[in-house]
Amino acid sequence: MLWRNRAKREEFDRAAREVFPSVFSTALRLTRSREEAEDLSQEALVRAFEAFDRFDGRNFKAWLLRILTNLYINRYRKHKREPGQESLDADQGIEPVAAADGNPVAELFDDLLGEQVEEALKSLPEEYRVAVLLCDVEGMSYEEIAQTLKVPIGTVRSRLARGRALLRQKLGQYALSEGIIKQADAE
Amino acid sequence: MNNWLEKVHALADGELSAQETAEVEAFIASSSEAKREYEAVLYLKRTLKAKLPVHDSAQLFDACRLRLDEIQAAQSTGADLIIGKFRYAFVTAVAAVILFGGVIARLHPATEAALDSVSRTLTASAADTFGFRNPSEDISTRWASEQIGSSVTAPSVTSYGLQLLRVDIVQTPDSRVIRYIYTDGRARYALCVFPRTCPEARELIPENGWMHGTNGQLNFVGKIVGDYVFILAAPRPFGELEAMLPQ
Repeated sequence: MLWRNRAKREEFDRAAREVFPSVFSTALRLTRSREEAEDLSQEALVRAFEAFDRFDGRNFKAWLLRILTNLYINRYRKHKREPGQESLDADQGIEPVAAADGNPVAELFDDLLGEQVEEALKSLPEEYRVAVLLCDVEGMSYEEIAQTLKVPIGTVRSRLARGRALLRQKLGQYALSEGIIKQADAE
Repeated sequence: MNNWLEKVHALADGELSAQETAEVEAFIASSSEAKREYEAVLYLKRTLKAKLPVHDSAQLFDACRLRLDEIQAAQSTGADLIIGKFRYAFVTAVAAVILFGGVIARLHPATEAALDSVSRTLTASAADTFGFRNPSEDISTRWASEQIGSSVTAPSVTSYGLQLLRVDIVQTPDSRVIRYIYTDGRARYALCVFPRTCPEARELIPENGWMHGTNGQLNFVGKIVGDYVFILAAPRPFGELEAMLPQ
């Protein structure tokens, strides 16, 4: 038992060390608070260790991110959602990411700093932010995101499309305020 | 094409089947709007990947490993550790341990149960507690006193070079316990303040002296201080821990 536990712990430490920077960065972007992110990522690691026997051996990072996101939803979000705030899924239609005037998006944001991109991402409504974060930053598949958030794949698709369109607008506003682009490009 | 925006996004994400990919690619070839959208999504994805910083987490990971050490230590029995260290020398003694183990366990059953209960409080998961963060012991103690509805004198463990990470309220079957979590940069220390009336803590501590206990790699020392029982635990020698509590 003792040797098996030691081997399990060493295997867990190896896998966790590799993906922990992503886990902590995701926690920061979910909670938008360093203290809460530290608590959340630490708790996720403890839960993962306790459940390590049930890990299927395929994608450790996606598994750990799923635990983290579930913890976040269960422990943090329910306290923070404002009274009367509803899901955004039933909102209006989906806007394109590309600029309406036909200007190419490419290179518009090249001069933006990482901090500004971070702020733009953090400013998204939570449902969109989580979907964009898990897909575009952490590389999770639609199926993995759907399982994590317990929503249909169609919902993941629409949250991603809406989230990206909104993110593009926010990045455009930053680029505009920094003088990187002109008014027409930001719209 | 229905829902073409979502399909273009799914293509950029590599989420379409071969047949769907061919259909959407044909649509993109025929629509400048769809082509711009496809390129915009790919560009946005690249921007996020390239620009978002990966935050430094090495120190936090080390703290997490210490927490896992504590959990493992709390789960390990003394027998595990002794066998792990001297496994060959003790192989022949296993039969004797089994034979007499039951007798030994019956000598102090209540004390063992109390020890288990205190260990659970010292290592309670954050999910079973609620806490407060402030580096000042005085401010943290004021908050904790309000939570338990009784005035507690603040410990002065930070004067020994430890940093206060947080204070938690742990609900045990009999009482609400204040738990301070400290670190010296390498190991975590847990200091629990039980009400003097709390049976499991009271049972372990002699009226005028120290209690010493070990669970896995954690040593803990305890002492009655006024109306409270202070129990400090860390992977450190007893003497070092005793020095940090009121004498």
